[in-house]
Amino acid sequence: MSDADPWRQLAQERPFLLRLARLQLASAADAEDAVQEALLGAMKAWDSYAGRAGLRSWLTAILRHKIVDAIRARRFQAPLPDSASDDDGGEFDPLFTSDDAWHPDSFVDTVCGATKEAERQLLDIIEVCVNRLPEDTARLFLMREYLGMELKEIEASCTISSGNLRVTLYRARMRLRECAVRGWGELE
Amino acid sequence: MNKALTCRETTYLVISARDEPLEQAQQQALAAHLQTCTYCRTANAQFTTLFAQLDALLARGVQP
Repeated sequence: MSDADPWRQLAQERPFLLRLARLQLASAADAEDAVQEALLGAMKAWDSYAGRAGLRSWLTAILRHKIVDAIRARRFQAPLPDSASDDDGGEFDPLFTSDDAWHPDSFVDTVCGATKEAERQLLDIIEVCVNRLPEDTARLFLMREYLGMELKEIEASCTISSGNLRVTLYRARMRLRECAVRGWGELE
Repeated sequence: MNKALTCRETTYLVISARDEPLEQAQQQALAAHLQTCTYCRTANAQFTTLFAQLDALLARGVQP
C-alpha cells in the first residue's frame, strides 16, 4: 500500500479525530460512530477532496457536522463541573504583581511568527496544549472553539451559569497561552 | 473617563473579545492600555497567534 491509498491516509488522522469527538460526546461509542461516519463520508467524497485543503483540516470540518448532528439528536452529556467557581481561584496570581500588572519574572515574551515551515510544528504544540486541559474545561472550550456554539447555546445545553462558562473559557485560554509560549520558545 | 485598566483586566478583555464583541468603552480602554504597556502588547500578539493556530487546528471556516 502506498501513501496515496485513501484509507491509509484517513486512518492516520483517526486518533486526532477520535480525541476531538470523545471530548464532545457522551459515550465512547457515540464518539466512535461520529468518527466512523466522518471517515466514511470522507471516503465517499474523496474525489472531490483532491488535496485542496489539508487532509486533517478537511476531516476536522466534516467531523464537526457529525458531532453537531449527534448533539442535536440528544446523544449528548451535559458537563457539570461542580467544582467550577466564578473566580479563577488564584490560579494565575503568579503571573501578576499585587497591582495586577504582568510580573516581569514570570512573563514569557516569546512571540512566534507563523512561518510556513514551522506551521506543522506550531499546530502540534497547540494540540499538545489543548490535550493538557482538564476534561470538563476542554469540552466547554471545544464547544465554543470547535463547534462554534454561541455562549448562550452552551449555557442552555450544559446548564452552566454565564459566569462559570466565562471563567472556564478564560482559564482555558490563559493556560493555553502559557503552554504555547513555552513551546514557541523551544522552537527558537 | 473610567479608571485605567490593569494588565490582568486587559487579559479579561482580550480573551472575552474572542466570544463577543467588546463595548465601545471597553475597546477604548483596551487600546489606551496597549499604547502604554509593552507587556500587554506582547501578550496581545501572543493571544492573536494562539487564536490563529486554534482556528487552523480546528479548521474554523473550512467547509467540508
